[in-house]
Amino acid sequence: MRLQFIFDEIVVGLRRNVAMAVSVVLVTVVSLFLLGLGFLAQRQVDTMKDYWYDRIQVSIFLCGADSDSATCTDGEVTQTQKDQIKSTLASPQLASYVKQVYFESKQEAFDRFKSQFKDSVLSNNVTVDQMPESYRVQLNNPKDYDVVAQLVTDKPGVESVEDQNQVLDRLFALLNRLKYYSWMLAGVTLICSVLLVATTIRLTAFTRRRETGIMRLVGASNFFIQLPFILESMIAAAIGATLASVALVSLTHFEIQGRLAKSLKFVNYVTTGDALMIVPWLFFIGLFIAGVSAFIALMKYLKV
Amino acid sequence: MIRFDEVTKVYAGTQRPALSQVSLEVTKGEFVFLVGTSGSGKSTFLRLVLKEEKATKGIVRVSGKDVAKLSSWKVPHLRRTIGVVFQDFRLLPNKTVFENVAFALQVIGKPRHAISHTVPEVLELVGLEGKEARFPHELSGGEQQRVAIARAFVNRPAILLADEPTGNLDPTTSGGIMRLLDRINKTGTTIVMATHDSELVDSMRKRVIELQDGKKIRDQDRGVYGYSR
Repeated sequence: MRLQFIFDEIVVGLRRNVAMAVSVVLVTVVSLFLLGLGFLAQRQVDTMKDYWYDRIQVSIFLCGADSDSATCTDGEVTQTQKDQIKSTLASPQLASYVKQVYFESKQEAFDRFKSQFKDSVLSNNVTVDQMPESYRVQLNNPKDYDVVAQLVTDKPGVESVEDQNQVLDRLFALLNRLKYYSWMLAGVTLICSVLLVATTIRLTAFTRRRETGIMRLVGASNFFIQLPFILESMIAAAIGATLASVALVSLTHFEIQGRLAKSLKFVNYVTTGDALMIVPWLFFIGLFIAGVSAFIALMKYLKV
Repeated sequence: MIRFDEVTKVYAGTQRPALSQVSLEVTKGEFVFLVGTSGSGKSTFLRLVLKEEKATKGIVRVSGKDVAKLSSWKVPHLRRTIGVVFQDFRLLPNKTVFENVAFALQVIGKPRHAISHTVPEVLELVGLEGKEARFPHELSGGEQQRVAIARAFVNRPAILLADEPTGNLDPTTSGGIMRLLDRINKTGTTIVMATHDSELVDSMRKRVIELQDGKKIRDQDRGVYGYSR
């Protein structure tokens, strides 16, 4: 029966070239893992963006008694100045951009600071007076930060205007770099696996030249002759993809969700579900590349 | 069955043609000896029939079809109608006699039950019944060639090509092989046999086509090996 025959040929082929089969598997694992890591980084950026979208705030820090910035030469912010700022924020100019404005008093700032850094030595030395007062502005569209900032930045009583976007942008930039480096390395290792598959095929084709010569002579179809080779490569790639997937999901489950999420809680992280969604892609890409490189290598090294 | 029309074959990188304007026709059921010295073009002739090589000029027709016009996925079908036997037997050393012959059927997708009754039949025809489980290295040269012939014939091809099948065999064994090929020919299979063996050719008095430097110099019914000398 044809299937049995093909199966036997594959087993013999894999057994004969165990070393090469193992190296194909290993290189595939590394390249697909790196590829998956890149995808994961991308997903992390998206997750963070989703989390912060509603929470983006413009923080307008008001001058305190000890502020030494250029706009705070008059000392602590006065009530008139505060009212002015408040009315600017409520003005019709900004009406379409501003969703809500909160005022955070020194006490509220102090309480928040204490709860965020409760395990830190720093919090023990801070007093209520050292905390700044601030207006927290929630925007309708986080991208409109500039509109508000422009109007408020140089007003008397305003020490600084901070866009939480900026902090996050730096984080996103870091994650994007991780993604690109991951994909660059993945690219290099994928090239390695393509070349390795081609070399393995060349070796196997040479080792099996007697059998393939007779198969050709006797009139086996080209596809039938090529099939065991292509399947061998795809099986090695499938094993590689499986191992890479296990590594990726484990990383997400144990390291990211297990350790990172528990210690740095200020943001959302990629879940195991996200990692599992990447798995089919790893299989698809891995098998596709293995199949195509095998086919091309056969064109070159197997005379049909 | 096989027809060559002004066929010329020049291998890449060489000046002298391996075959030069050869025209001949082999009809169904014929037994033809192809004789000539080494390099006269005998092997090239066989390879052109199998479409292992493409003719540089002229038309090669097998079973009425122009082989040049066959698309590459149809070539395997052509080869299933042709059996080939070589001087060096070309058996698979890791397979038994039975498996070697069965291989030819397996690779074209014949089901197991068909294989299990066709193979013993053809082994009996070539005189190797009882030796199914032997490996090639356990057989004599003559027996190995019989396995090769069994493999070539198991699919009942219309044409059997033999490239110096008795080249590695002693005269007595060669005679046995020739009698086998004659029997196969009598079942209606067209046989073209390239050979150096003058005694064999002389004893059988079949049609003889002689090639020299790629040209056909003799085509004689009931011919002998060295008539034109």
